[in-house]
Amino acid sequence: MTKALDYFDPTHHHHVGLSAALQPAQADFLVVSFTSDWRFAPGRSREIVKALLDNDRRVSYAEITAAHGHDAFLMPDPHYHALVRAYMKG
Amino acid sequence: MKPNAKVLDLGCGDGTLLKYLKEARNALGYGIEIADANILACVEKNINVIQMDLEAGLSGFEPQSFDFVILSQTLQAMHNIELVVKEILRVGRQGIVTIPNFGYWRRRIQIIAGRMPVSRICPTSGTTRPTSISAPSLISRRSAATTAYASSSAMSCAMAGREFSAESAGEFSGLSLRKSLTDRNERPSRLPPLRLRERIEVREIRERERVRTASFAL
Repeated sequence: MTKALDYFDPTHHHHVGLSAALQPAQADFLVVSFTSDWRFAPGRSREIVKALLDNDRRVSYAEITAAHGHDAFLMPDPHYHALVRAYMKG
Repeated sequence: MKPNAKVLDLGCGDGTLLKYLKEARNALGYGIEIADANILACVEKNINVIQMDLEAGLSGFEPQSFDFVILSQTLQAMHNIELVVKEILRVGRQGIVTIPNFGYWRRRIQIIAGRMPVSRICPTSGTTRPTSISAPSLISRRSAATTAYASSSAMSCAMAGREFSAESAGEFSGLSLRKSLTDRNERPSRLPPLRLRERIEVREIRERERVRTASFAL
């Protein structure tokens, strides 16, 4: 599982940057990271946001202050939950 | 602002301006905010918002990737003014900066009372830093990229090596910035000389600020 996560590379089939790899995407995006997450660090999420911006995709990005590392997304964080709820409603 | 423009609003707050631009001009808008509550407010309005700290600049944004970059009622709450103004001009084809008009008589009275001006539109909040960038920083001359000061009736602003226009009405001052086509390098700003009354006022405020800083140091 850890290896699968480590080896995942969204640009693998394109051998070009992330912006080009996300070029076919048509969806709107909400990207959320957690400050203490070392597995998918906020910096990686910011790269995704940049690539989506390069393609003029509609994207929002939130960086949730959290102390629970990668598992923070499993915790009942009121702000995180409110964001996802608001986004799904909108 | 032309319809369908790609717009970046720095310090977009609860997204009110972007919502208006989306509805009135069909703008493709993105906001940048740092406060959690404002991120939520923008998402609730269905406004694109990106959570990041402007003080660190706009790394991750490509040069000239936006038609307009707006900094509305935010400059006065920032430390790193010159960086953000340079970044506006790097990322945007045109920049629009509005700041509270500290030359407006109500704000002047607040400054004379030794306070960071507060109004309905610009209330004091956790992100406002009254001691570091308050009236003196906007009113006094700055050596590098940006120079702004309030005059008795309007605000004048100079950007080294930039084309700009500035206007002021009541509570607000606004400037429109463009990269100079002829000279992209910084050159010394040429400012209209301050009038005597303004010079005295700037000096008074500077002295007041020094006193306040000294008392903080104690």
